[in-house]
Amino acid sequence: MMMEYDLRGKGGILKLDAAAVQELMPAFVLGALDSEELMAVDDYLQEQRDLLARLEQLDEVTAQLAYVAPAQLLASKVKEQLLERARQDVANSGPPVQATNPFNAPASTARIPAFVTQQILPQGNQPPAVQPLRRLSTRPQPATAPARNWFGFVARTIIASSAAAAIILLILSTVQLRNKVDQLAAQISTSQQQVSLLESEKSQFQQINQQLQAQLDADRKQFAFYSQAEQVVTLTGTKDAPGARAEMYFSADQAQLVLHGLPPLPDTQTYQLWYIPTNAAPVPADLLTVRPDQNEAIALTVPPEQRNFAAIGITIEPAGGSPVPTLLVLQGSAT
Amino acid sequence: MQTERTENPPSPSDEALLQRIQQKDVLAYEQLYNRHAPTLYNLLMRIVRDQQIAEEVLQESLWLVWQRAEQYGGAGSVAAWLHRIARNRALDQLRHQQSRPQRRPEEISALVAAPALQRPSAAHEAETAWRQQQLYLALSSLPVEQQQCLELAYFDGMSQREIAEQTNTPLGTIKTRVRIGMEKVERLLRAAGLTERDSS
Repeated sequence: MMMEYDLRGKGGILKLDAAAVQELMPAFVLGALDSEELMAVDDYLQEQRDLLARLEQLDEVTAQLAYVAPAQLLASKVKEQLLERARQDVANSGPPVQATNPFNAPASTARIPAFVTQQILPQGNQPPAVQPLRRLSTRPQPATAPARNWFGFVARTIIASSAAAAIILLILSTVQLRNKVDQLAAQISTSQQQVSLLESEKSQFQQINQQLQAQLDADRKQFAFYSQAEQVVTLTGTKDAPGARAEMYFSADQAQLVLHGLPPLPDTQTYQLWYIPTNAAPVPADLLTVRPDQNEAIALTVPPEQRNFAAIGITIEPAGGSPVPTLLVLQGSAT
Repeated sequence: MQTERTENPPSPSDEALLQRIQQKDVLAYEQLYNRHAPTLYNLLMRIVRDQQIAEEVLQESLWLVWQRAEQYGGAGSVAAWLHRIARNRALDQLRHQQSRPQRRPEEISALVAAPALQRPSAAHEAETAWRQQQLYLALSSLPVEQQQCLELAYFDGMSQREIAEQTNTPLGTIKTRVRIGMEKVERLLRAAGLTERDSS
């Protein structure tokens, strides 16, 4: 049996200890907790980091459940549209980073950064740093060159090749710097978009948080009313509504009626509440509306003269109510 | 005579692909798609039960990955991160529609349904098929009630209270089934080596 826990602190706020959080963590990662338990577990994990590793383990287990889903046929257009969108995003953000698979790059070009080879080399060419030297070294010599000019020729060759290499290095550096600037500009643009998206999300989360907080406050008030009620009457369904039940909580001249299992009625009918004194006819009271698929909690004001009832009943009446009860569906005794 | 041996280069890990996607590498993005989109789509179809909606949610989820690949913080596997994104979006869509199909208890199929054992399509790798097989063995060892609870919680996004109301079972019983069911699955998957973080 699951360990019972309820560590409500001041104000009725649920506080959990480590043992309770451990028990709830499988349901937490599944997203299967009620809002109160969810917030209590989240609060604990924010303040105490000791269970984060366990959370990660359970998250991995949960992720595996996705593989159990039956296999479906995924249309190829989904991939095509997504990749086209990505390409357009790259084009709009700046110079595209052409995708290369470094594991498949030929050895000669793998030593040179990919963006360099793509910017200045047609496909398939060798790195230019090698070619000028080879061309110069294989330049045919004049057949009749005098021997005393040989050193000058070598010197001129070395100087020319050095100059060519320097020029190429300068070009490479310029291209590299230019690409770096473009990349940084693209990153700034992306970051700005992300900030905008995050701000929008933050606003949405704040709104949701406010709604949850309002609901939580309402729930707490209701629970406080129930726990402090002076009198509680339990109503059970008659043979005409065997699945229905209700509880009515009284405190001073206020009451909360909680209905379960009553189906909604057509517009031509309504539920009606009756206070039944001892040895007297039932006194008609509030008309009640039930919404589909929800348990109703209805706040009522009890007339002082009806406070000393012997029993309570709920009937089905024509729209607008009735001075005398027609079809009894719920009844409960005050004692 | 010497002969050159050529070996296929190892596939990049999911983490490596995400790093490249941060640099807007479309090829890396395509590789990630090929690797994970089929599983994500199966998951989304199971949740939303509508082809058009599942395709839209898949695109939204993976577009988010393209835009925010850097938000994968390294905690847990990339697959778990992707599954979480897709599942949350699908459940949000389901709640937004407010038209979650209500099923009677006898219509709730066991988590381990026969279609999960279909032969993998061309797009699925052999490893995915093996993973499905291991999951089937793990889940089929659970009592049917625990399987049903996990299915309703994971694929239908129901809370424990909602599961209790739908199955007309005490809430405490449902809480116990969820907790014990998940712990059993965890033990069995760990024994099968499925809960280690995959490198690719």
